[in-house]
Amino acid sequence: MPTSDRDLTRAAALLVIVSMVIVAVLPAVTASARYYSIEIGLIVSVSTPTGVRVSLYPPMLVPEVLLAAAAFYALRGVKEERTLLKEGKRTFYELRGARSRAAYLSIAALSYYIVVALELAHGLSYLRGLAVFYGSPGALYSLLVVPGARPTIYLPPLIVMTIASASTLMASIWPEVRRALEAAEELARRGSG
Amino acid sequence: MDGGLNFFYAALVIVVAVLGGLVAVKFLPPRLSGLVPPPFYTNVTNITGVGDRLLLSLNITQCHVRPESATVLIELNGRAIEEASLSEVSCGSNNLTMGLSPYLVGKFAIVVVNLSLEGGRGYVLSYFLRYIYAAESFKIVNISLVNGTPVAYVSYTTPFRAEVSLSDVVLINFNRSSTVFGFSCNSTRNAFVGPGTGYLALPLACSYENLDVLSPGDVYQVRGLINVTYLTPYGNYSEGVGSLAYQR
Repeated sequence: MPTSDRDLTRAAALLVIVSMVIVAVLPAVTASARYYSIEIGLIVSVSTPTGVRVSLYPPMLVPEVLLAAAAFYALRGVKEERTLLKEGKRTFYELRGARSRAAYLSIAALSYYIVVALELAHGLSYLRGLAVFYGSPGALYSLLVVPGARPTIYLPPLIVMTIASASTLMASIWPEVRRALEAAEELARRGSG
Repeated sequence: MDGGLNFFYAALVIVVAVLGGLVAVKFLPPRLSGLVPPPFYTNVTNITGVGDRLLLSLNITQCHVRPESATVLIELNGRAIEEASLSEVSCGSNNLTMGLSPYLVGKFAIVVVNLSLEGGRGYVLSYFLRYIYAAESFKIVNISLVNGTPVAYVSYTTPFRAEVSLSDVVLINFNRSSTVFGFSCNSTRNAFVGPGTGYLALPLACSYENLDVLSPGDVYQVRGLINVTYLTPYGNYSEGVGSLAYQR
């Protein structure tokens, strides 16, 4: 049975790493209309008829850092479990700290990401289109507006992060769940015996 | 705490992360401005009132995408005062004529230029702060006695038809520091003037007259308030114009 704990934690760590990559590569919010598109994530990309420009959005580094820390704690949990098992110790209590830290961190990353994505989508929607400010000499400001571009939250990163968070959460509470199930089975066996 | 997952801590983590996300977006919104090569640059190079019309020169340069049509809106204190459209605009200089509202004369107004891009590729909104100048002046130039009645002569330049009256007019002998006419010299009637430039004679009724201090060769100071009501298609608009002049 401890092997299944370790597999679950390892799978959770893998999912967290996958979501790190996806969050880094894919946008959180997209808006596009004829000839134009804006994608905002860690990488911000704006394409217009006059070209494509790319930059970074630093606040999106926060979920990356949180996910990296979550992956670190999950992997440390796997490693420590192996060591403890070699020493012949039970691992229920010893590993709970690392696993729960991984769960906290991945939940924090998911919550932060959802809020930022919602705020960005809301911020882009006020002109009912895609709007980009640019400086024009003599003007207070200029604004390029492309109607018909609805900002939407891009779901794949959100889905993968949700699964990763759920798996870290599952890995952190699984030993207790398993113990409870075993105790219930034992009780049922005694009752029937 | 035994190191296991605590739901109170999990809730706390979510709250902190949500607040952190809100703060991050509030103070570090994504900067898209430098990323977009503008379709073109717009500038309002000249905006002048000529008569009761407002002439506006719109300069469009560096056209990566051609502009198709333009709508210009003039706003004062967040309220649209004037609007005009051009069905065809070109890259370069474009002239636009619109009505001149008296509310705009001598004020800083926001000029909003909306240029649509060819092929339905969206539009560009540009905001400018511009002073609206229009030749407009009212001035008391002279007061003289006509058949024993004081008459004030007013020079004017107005872009609109206007109704003019005078109040609180004072004529002072500057050499003797003595009031000739004054305290409450008001015009006995209102005068109507058309758009353009001219002179106007308005008879005065004064509460105080001291003709003894009138002497040829002395310098006289003329002060007064000119009450102007512009009569325009936008409605009537009144304002008081102070006037100070010297006459011999």
